[in-house]
Amino acid sequence: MKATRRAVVAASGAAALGLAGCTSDGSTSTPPPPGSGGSSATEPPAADPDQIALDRAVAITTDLLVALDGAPPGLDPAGRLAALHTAHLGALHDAMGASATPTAPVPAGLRLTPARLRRRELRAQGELARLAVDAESGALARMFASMSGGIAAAIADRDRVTG
Amino acid sequence: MTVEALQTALAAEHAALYVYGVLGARTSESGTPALFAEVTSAYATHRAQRDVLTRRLLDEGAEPTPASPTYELPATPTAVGVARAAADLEAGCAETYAYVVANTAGDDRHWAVEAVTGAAVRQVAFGRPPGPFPGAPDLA
Repeated sequence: MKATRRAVVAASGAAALGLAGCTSDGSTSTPPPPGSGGSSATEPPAADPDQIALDRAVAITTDLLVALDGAPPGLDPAGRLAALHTAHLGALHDAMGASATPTAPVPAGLRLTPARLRRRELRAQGELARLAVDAESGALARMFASMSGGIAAAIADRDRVTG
Repeated sequence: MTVEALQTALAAEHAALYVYGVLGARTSESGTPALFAEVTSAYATHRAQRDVLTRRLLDEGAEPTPASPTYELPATPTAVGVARAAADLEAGCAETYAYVVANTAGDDRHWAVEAVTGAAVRQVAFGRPPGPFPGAPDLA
C-alpha cells in the first residue's frame, strides 16, 4: 500500500516536472542575468514548489502532533486527533520518498486548551486547503485536500461529542 | 481535463439529489428531527452544487451531462439505514470531488477542495466516524 501511494505521488510529481519543462523555454521563466548568455546549463535548479509544499505540510502536521503530545490528559480522548495526524505524517513521508528529511520538533508553546486546540487544528486545516489549491501536482493537491477534509471532519466530530 | 472532471461531478450530483430526495421521503420530521434536518440540509447543498457545476460547464461551452431517469437506491427501512445510506453517498461524493481537485486548477480546484471538506463533515453528521483521508481511501 505504501509503495503504491509513493508511486502515485512520485508519478504525478514527474508529470508536474514535465509541465514545468514545457514552460521553462518561454514567457513565464525568470530572464537570465545580463552576460549569462541565457545558458540553462549555468542556472541553478529552481526550487520545486511541490517539494516546498510537502515540507510545509510536514511542518504543520508535526507541529500539531507535538502540541498534542504535551497536551493535558483528556484534550484528545482516545488519541483520535493524534492518530489522524500520525496517518497524515506517514502519507507525507511516503510522498516525499527518499528525499524525506527529519523535521525538528516544534516547541508546543502555550498550554493547550480545548478552544486553542480547535483554533490550531482549523488553522492547519485551512493552510492544507490552500496548499491543495496551489499544488502543481494533481495527486499532491488531492492528498492535501483530503488531509484538510480529514481535520475538518475530526473537529466536527469533536464538536458533536462535546456539544 | 477540467470539463471531464466537472461533468463527472455533475453526474454525481444528479445521483446525490435523486437519492437524497428518496431519503428525505423516508425520514420523519417529527420522529427523527435531527436526521430530517441533516438530510434536508444536504439536499440543499447538493442542489446548489449541481447548479454551480451546470453554470460552470455552460461557461466552458460544454453541454452539462443530464440526469439519468433513475438511480439505484439503497435499502433504508430504518432511520439508521437512512443515515448509513447518506454517509455512503457523501463518501462517494468526497471521492468524486477529490478526483476533481486532482484534475482542475485555480477557482475550480478551490471550489472542489471545499466540496471535499463539506462531504467529509456531512459523513460525520450522519454518524460515520471521521477517517484520516476522506475522498482518498487509497492513502490510508
